[in-house]
Amino acid sequence: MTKQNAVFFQIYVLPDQVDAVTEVLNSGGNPNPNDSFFSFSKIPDVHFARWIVVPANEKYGASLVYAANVDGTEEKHINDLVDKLPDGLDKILTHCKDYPEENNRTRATRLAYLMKHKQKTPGFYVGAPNRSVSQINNEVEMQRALQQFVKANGSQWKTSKEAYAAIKKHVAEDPDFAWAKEKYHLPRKRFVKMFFFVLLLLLILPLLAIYVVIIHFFYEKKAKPFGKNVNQIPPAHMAPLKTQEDKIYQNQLSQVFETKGGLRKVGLRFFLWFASFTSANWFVGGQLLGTPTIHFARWVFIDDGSRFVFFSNFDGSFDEYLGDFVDNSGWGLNAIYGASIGYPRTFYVFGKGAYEISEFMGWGRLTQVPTPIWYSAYPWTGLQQIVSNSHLRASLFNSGNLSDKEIKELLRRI
Amino acid sequence: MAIVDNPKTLDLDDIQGMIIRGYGKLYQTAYFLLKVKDAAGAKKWIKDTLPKVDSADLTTHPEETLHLAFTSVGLAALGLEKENIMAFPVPFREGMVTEDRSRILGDYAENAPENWRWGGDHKKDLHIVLIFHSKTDEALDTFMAAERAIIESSGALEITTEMKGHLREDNKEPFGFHDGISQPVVKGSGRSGPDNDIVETGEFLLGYKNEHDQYPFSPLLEKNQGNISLLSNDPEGSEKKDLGKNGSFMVYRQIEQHVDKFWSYMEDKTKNEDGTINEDAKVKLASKCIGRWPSGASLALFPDKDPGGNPSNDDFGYAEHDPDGLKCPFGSHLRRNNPRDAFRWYNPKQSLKISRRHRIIRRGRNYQLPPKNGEEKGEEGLHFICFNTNLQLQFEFIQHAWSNNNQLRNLSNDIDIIIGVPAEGDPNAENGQFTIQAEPTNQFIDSWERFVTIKGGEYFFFPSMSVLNYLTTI
Ligand code: HEM
Repeated sequence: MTKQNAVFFQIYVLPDQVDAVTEVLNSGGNPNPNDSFFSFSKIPDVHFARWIVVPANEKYGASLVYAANVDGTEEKHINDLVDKLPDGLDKILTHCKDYPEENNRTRATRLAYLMKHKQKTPGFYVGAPNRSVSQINNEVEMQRALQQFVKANGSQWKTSKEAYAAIKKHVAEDPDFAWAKEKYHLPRKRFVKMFFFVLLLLLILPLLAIYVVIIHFFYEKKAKPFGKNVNQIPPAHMAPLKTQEDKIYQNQLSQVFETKGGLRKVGLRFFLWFASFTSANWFVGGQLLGTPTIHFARWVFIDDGSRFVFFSNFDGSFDEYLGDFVDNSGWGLNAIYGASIGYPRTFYVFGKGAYEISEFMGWGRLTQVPTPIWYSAYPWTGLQQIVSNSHLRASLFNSGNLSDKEIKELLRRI
Repeated sequence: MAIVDNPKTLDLDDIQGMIIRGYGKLYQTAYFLLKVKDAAGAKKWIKDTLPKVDSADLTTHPEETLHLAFTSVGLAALGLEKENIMAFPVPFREGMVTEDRSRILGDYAENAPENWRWGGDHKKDLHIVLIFHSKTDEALDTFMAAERAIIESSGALEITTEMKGHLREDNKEPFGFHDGISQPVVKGSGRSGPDNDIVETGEFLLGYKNEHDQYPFSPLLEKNQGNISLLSNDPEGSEKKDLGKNGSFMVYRQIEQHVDKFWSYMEDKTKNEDGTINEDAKVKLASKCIGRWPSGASLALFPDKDPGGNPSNDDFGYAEHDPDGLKCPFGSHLRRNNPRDAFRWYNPKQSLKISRRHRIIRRGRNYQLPPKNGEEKGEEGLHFICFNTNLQLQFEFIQHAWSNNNQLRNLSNDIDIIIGVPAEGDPNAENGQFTIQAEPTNQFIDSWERFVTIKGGEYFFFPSMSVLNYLTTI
């Protein structure tokens, strides 16, 4: 079963080269086309990928951040990058610190450079786990083909059983569906792991309660929210973001945050672990706390933990996405992003904050940076489509006898 | 579900009528698009016009009335300071036509603003819209002539476009469906309504809390000018004066409807096997697309057949009657644009919470242009007008997240039958379809076509009566 993995680099830019590298990245394309100097379509295992520039702050210089969601291991992907996109890498990284000199750029030196800069992804969510890029694309085709079959023959069937039998026979005979018969099951919730997880939570509940009180009285009282409504963001900040949005079915969000210190940082690590753990073991059915549009999301510390980034790949617009989160799980946002400087004031860690929706969206915009290169392997396919297709495939090809209810459910997906 | 009371708490005298009232007896409307040539003269004209502007006070029954709304360039032309214009929400400030907004709304190709009659590129000249309501066409003509004469003699304003609209006595829009039934009821307006439709005031009027239990973003005066004693205070307690209170934002889109194309499509897709027309199936398909029968009866309540009559009932949901879309398809115009108590797989409470955050008050009127040479019938369509306080989360959200979204629920490539536009560049756009949830298998109506074209549009600020008055003092 394919496992999707997160690859991440942070690479510092030579101080006088920030404009130059920004210009190079800007020519890469969002969305990233097939004929770009850094075309991700050359690496078929990439689901989503991006390059961004993290602006300098008082302590740290500007850096590039690369993030990709890939089938297979991190190491394999880094090898793919070096093999398939060496010129593209050179073009970008030539502006970065310690990149090998022109006469010393070989497969080995590039590989060593990237390996040196790779970084762990402590918070990671996969909307449709256990699915490779090719599986996702194949399943889209499968669903379309089944729809065509139903269009042509549907009027003859009187009952669901009859319809199901005809469809089953059709796919059994069609060699195009051979791939679908391979053993496959949908990702499962891990009840045992979750049991121990909840147990652990109960144990540390008193600590959590103390944390909540301390944060509320000693941190949030002093916090300085940006306090800007989404309508009060400087137009010059919005313009480059807007030109990159709503071009395909999905959108990207790249945010860079300054981390609050002390206990907040400890709390952040805990909540990211919490998010990752529940993502891997519980939220495996295509929804993160009720929000059903996120393909991949990640949180990573940069600049020695003084800042962190959030990247996500989601369906719909920025407003729809943030609104969805607020409608379904604003408290979860508060727990994590409350650790970022400028976040709307929270109430006992979980309350208020994101629920102040216009200020929350303003904060979202102010912490957002442009995403000059962004790639999606399936730009017109929504997450729920992907999830539904896999259910369809699994029940049609990889299950035993279906009950009447299951048959009806299967037919509804066509 | 039930019809519930909704006690009056609002100062209806201060609210322009159209937000609360549909003027169901004032059948004729007209729209003057005005350009301000001389600010002082224009302000005087507004002052003189004010007594003819109807308020939302439901005890009056005027025979004719006017309403006024302004673009952001219009407010600037009247002399509102730049700082104060910058205090308005972004979509209003920028107007309906920007590159990214056109992507969201689907305004490209045949809908491209370059081809519009008004709005868009011409927006520098579009400052004010004056909306007329009258009982009869003759009365309207007289009314328009009188107002035209006043405007012309003032010399301060130029009428750049005149348009007419109307409400049919049977309340049907040009495709032949009873319109104007599903409406939110503004909390505090004193109108009763189905409890699901009673929506927090702040979704439609600035200065009140909305469905997020917050005040919608309202323009607060940044730089004092004019007679600020006419303005109320920021309800959130800053010392600033609120230009928004009791006002709203008005979306106006002129939408041409290709009525013959619509019905011949429905006819083609439902012909009997011998090639003859199946009238019932044709009407049923069209009704499945809309979500109501021509009479206005809901498909969720009357799945098989139009009960006829004039059943303008909006007291229903989908969770109980039709969770699987077998009666009223998920992709129908009605269900898509207000999923009511059955959004995604959420429970009715969560669904309603979300649906209520994305509602609009619709005040559309039909139009019919005189035939051009050789044509049998002139262009017809809808002056689509709606009110909301948050353009992004209400009108734009509905158009983009619901109507233009080809993957709502289990749908794989369906957009809104009437107003949906596929994303530019979507390789599947050509294969759009309409899915009718059915058993044993879904039915698909193929090769979807476009039945409407956008002909003009703009976002307007629809001030309260006191702010209208205030604007004459700046
Ligand atoms: C020519 C264009 C249009 C036509 C012919 C049309 C027609 C209709 C009809 C027949 C109804 C059902 C009547 C009712 O329930 O009141 C309806 C409802 C509705 N329409 Fe439209 N419409 C058009 C444009 C739009 C646009 C541009 C929007 C918003 C972006 C929109 C949003 C809605 C909403 C929200 C409802 C009510 C849904 C509900 O609450 O259940 N319509 N429309």
